[in-house]
Amino acid sequence: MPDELAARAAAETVARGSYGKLIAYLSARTRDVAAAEDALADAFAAALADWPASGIPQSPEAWLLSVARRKTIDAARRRRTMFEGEDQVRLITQELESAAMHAKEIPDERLALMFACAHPAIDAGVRAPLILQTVLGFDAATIASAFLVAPATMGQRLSRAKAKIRQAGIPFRVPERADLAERLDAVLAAIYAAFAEGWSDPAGTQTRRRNLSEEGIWLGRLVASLLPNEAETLGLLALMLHAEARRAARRTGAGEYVPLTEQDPASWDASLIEEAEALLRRASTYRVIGRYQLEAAVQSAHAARRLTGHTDWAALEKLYDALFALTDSPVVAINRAVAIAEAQGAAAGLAALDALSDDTRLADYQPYWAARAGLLARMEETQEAGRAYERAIGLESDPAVRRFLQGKRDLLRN
Amino acid sequence: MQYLLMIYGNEAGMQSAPKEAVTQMNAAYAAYSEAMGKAGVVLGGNRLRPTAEATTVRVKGGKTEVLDGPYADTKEQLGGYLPD
Repeated sequence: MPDELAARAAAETVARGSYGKLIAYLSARTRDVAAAEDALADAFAAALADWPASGIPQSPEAWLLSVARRKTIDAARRRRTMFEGEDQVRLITQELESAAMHAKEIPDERLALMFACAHPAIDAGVRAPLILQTVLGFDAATIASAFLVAPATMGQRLSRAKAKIRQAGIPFRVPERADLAERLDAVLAAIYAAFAEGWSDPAGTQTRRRNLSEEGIWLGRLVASLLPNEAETLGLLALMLHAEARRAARRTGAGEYVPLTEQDPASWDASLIEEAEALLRRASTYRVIGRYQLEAAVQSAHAARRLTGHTDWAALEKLYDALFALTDSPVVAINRAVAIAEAQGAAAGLAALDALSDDTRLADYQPYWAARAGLLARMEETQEAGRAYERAIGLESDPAVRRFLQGKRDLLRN
Repeated sequence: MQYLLMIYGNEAGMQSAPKEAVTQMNAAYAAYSEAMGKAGVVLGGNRLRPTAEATTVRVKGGKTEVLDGPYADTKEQLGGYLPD
């Protein structure tokens, strides 16, 4: 029932928003993220269960705080004999009390929490997961599967990171101008990584990736609203909205893969595209170019097909040139090779791909093999194309994508 | 000119070493520190916390390393442009 689903989604959005706000508020005071999570976990679970049916309370934060306070006191009573952690319980109970008294004016310190999670002292690989857990309330198992590690391993990494925040006294604040760029990079990278994870499963068939692209957009909107004068925060949001606009167009009703050139622009979400375009224009007024703005510009160039009826490959080649100069990324280089193939011919594109063949990071990277196979097929190098398709098929876990690649390979035999 | 003297030790080795050996080693350090102190050349010294409590900061060239992303021209196309 769509109404029920909508109520559920609305309740979940508010619950996650309030949860993150309270975690940020409590842990900024105690420096103890784990204790704040322990205190709020039951209340958050209760909110996810109750609110879709009973409606969103007038003050979601007050609701969560009063449930959290009761549960924390209950739990403390139950293990009265345990002295370990007693101080922490007392501290967090006091904080819950004082927060409840001012529940209406709890400041939003989620951005400060995100920056604490993105601190250079925290292992780079755990920053994005930590942001997802503390700001959105995802459990370790959900995050673990999205980042392809075992739940126990992810749980350990997350608790180690939280202990680090406490022991090293990592500050909960948006850093000064001089440090902002580097720290903001980590925050944006975490959001980008979360979005990309969800994006790669547009049909939402894999539980482990479900909602991650929406959560990425949600975080992107939060950061863009809190730091509206940073060009790259706007660029990242523009890029995500553009990609999201084509979500429905990327699969047929039956769940089959539809490549970009065969997508019907009428099935793209026009309002998301317009919002993305406005953000990108605003970002460009700051005259600070960056990775996300360039990636958003690539998306924008593709979206222009809905108005012009064709794709400007020369412009795309230039954008990828700039992106490659900025990032030196092999993934960008593959996309650049594909744009070159369209602008200058398959031989030129293949030559650009050949230049990457020594990069060992690409041996298991499916898009490299798929791009290679497509270009070889166009050069009528049938045998080599077939081998490249085999590699690509073997590396793909999404059945719809696999079927599409198998279809392409089978065409070679005719 | 100021110098920083760093003493590298084997943490696990130190923990499992017999007590007399540790005492003897510490006595030697103490004597050396005292000699430096008397010579008036020591500005200060401190023992580091165990490595389990260490914070290491690594930033590679100031860049984070998220490479993969939602790229339209590869993942959303998969080499399937039509040779028309």
